[in-house]
Amino acid sequence: MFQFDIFNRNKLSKPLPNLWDFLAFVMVGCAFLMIAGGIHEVMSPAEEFSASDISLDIWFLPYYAGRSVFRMFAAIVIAVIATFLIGALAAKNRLAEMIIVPIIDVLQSIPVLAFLQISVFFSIYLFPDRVLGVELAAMIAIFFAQAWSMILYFYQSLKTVPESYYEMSKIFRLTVWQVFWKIEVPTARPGLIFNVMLSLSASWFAVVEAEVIQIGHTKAYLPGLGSYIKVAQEQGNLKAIGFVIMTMLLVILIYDYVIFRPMQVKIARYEDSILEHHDHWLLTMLSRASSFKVLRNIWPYFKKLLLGALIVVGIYVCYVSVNWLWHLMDGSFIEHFSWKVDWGKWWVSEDVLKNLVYVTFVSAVRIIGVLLLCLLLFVPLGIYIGTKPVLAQFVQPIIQMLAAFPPNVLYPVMMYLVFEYRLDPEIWVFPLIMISAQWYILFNVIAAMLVIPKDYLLVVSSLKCSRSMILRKLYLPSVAPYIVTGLVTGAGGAWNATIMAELFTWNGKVVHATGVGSLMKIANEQGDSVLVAWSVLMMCLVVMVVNILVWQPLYNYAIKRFQ
Amino acid sequence: MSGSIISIHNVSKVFPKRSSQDVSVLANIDLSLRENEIVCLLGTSGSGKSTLLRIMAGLIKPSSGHVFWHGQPVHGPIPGVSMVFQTFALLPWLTVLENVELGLEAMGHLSVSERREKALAAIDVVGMGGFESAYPKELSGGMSQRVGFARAIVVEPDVLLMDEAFSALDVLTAESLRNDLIDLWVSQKTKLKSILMVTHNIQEAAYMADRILIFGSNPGRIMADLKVDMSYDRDQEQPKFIQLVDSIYHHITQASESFSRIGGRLKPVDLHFRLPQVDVSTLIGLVETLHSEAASQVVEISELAEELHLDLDELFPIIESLQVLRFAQLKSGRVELTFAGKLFADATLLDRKRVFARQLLDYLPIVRHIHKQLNEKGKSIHQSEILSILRQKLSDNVALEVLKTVIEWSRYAEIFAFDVNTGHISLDNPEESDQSASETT
Repeated sequence: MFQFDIFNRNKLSKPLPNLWDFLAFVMVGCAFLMIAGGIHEVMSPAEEFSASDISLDIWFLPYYAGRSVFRMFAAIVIAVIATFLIGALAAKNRLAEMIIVPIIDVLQSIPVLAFLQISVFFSIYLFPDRVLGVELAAMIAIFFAQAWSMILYFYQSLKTVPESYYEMSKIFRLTVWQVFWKIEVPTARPGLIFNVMLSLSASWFAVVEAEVIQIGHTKAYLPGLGSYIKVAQEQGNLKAIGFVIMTMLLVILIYDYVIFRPMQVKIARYEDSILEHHDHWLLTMLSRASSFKVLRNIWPYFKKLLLGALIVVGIYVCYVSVNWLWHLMDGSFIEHFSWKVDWGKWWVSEDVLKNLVYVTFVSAVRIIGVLLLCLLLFVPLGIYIGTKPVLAQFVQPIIQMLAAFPPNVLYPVMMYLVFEYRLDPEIWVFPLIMISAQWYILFNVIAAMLVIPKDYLLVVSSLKCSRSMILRKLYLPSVAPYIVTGLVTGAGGAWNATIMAELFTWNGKVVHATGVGSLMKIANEQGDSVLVAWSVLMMCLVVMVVNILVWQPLYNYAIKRFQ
Repeated sequence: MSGSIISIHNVSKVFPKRSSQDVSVLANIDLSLRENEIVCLLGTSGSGKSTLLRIMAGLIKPSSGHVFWHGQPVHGPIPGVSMVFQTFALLPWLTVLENVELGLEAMGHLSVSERREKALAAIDVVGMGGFESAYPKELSGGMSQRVGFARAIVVEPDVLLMDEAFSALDVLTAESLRNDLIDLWVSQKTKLKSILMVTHNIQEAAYMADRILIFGSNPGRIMADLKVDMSYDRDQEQPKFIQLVDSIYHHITQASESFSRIGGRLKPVDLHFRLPQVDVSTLIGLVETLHSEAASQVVEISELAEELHLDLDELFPIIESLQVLRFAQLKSGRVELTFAGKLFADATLLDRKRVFARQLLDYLPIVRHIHKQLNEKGKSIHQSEILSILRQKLSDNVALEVLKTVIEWSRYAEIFAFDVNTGHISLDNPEESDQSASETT
């Protein structure tokens, strides 16, 4: 095909290879190598994955970064497919809607890492003799970190597709398939991409955490940045931690620059009201490289091929799940986890339960404290930045970068300090949880400040209002609903962080702050799955109750009162 | 022979409502669209004419009655019918060319190059050549609608349906687009056999139609079928054209008058009356305009519409509101201020409120009901109580709109106060209670 097109001089545009093709070739080649390598590694027979396999040599970092990125990317692909399937189903079918939406609402409020334990059980059972088993457990955890909000967003945006688009599609008799790809997906696209970007931090958080998987009493260390951090932490290697933080930053930068920026530019071309030329070298490559022109010509055929491949994969997944169900009925599933139906084993003593309630209460109070602290520090900061638009424009991308940075990569540094200077973990756990919550609040406050109509600012300045009056009468009411949004997401991040942050380990030494997170983690390491299950349950309960009793009414009030 | 292309027989449409009864939108309509004619459905908004258009396009199923395409019963969108939308319905993520091609995409039998050729030709026909690679955001409203036309004609339809296709455009743009469409129609460059358009603009109907169907509301029905016997070089200054416009106004006002009067007297409205959504300042504005007109304070409605640059859609609700409050009345095509209207116009700012309050209490049963409730109970009542009364006969959305209007008018008249935070309607002035609250703290 390529050869043919090169020598077909009759065509209007002669697709001769150019410099862009060279670049494209290098990039496609790299991507291909990475995917192929990743798949090869994942499909290879199971290994031990002991900590000693992880080398702290910095020259291994690119390899580990590659493995982590592959995991992340695979999870996002699965999440996107799930979003399209489940979101569309919920939007199109009343019955499905009534079942799916409440379930996702609940799932969304469950801390990501609680899922990890469950996913380990299932995926290792499914693929006991493949690396895929452990890998899948990690991918599922990452998937859970972002799929729910994506599905909900897609579902909601399908509901807002203008009726005239549907009428138009009926008049021109577009097929359901065409409507989906030409109308529905593009409608959701900008928000969906933004959604993925926002939850990037949460997903990196999950990637880092999910790479070390507790299976029974042993730990599996999947090659990746997360395992690298864990091993470095266990060996007390501060230098390695420093390198991995830098690597992480670099990976996020590249990720943002190569994937999200081009997508945003592409959308800005048709969405922005300002007629300004948006550009990105990747897009230029796509439109200039003649090999892509050829690709575009054969795309319709390729699309059919892709669809066929997807169907094959779908059938395989169905086969696996049927197989799995079969095993489930077979009884081997139950034996596999030694879940002999012994309900007594799942019951815990009253003392344990009392302790559980107590530590959950402590964690909840701590999170409230963290959120109040965030408000105290970041609302004034956000308002200050918001009053200076030039500063805001400069600061915003930096904050976005920082927000995408997974906080748990920074934890070892804090833990080192705690052990080195004998600090009190009960106090120093605060900053660890705070970095998981603060960005949402700062983000939202700045955003709210930037959308205050210019006329209002003119009014208050023409009336010569005092600073405190402007703050009370204009700024605070304007940012209030946004603060609530920030608090809700921030609280979610804080609960997630609790599990990781309350247990301090460094160079083999362990101390912990009181809380449900440390309890859960210790139980997990001791292989006490009963206590893990109870604490997960407890945590979910608190998160959901707080959502229903506090956040939702507060949000509704803020919307009604201030907007 | 001019056979009928689309015809509908005895079509009705009711929208189901949760509570007591259904809302009837269209009642027993017969209509047929013949070859070589432009038919115009003219009526106010909410009269159901857009619903009728969608039924004829096969987009909505009628509750009863039948739709025929060349004599064959229709179930679902008709292949030979294309449509132009009020909101253009162009996909923002596709270029002009891709948007036009989209119309052809569902026709599987075309190759990529054939599709492109046809789309480019259609874009040229509507005069948008050169804009092929532009995104809709780069186009003005007029240009967007031209692309909408290109997309509609590229599939070579027999019938073109237009749903208020010009109403989102400014006056000049709309006029040039109308002219171009007429030229296209006269030149017979397309395979179009017939056009059916929905509009609330009388001038537009008079300018374009071979046949004008005047549409009445509640429930929607065809009140008159006017044949226009003019060639397509119509001029708005032409006596024949002015005559036509006058006769359209005459038909419309007659429909409206027969609806609001019993035996020559104005009909009193009931508790569930569907009050038009008009704000107080607009009402005052029209009263003042009528007052400053001739000494007789009687104005021909067509003159009024022209002078104020108002569409049917905008003018009629205002006149209806004034009539309900007995500030003015509509009599054989003329608007006339009543005694109360003159009194109101002459009064000072504060006296006006008093006059307005009296008219509200005398002629609007729902306001009288709320006022009575407040006096009897002595304290506030919740808005949901009033809403539930209105919902007995009105749909949820309409009930909410009516309540909003009632609250706005009554607030102006200082009959009662309303607190949006609590949803309470009360007799006391909120500011006073606010002050007393802040004094105690």
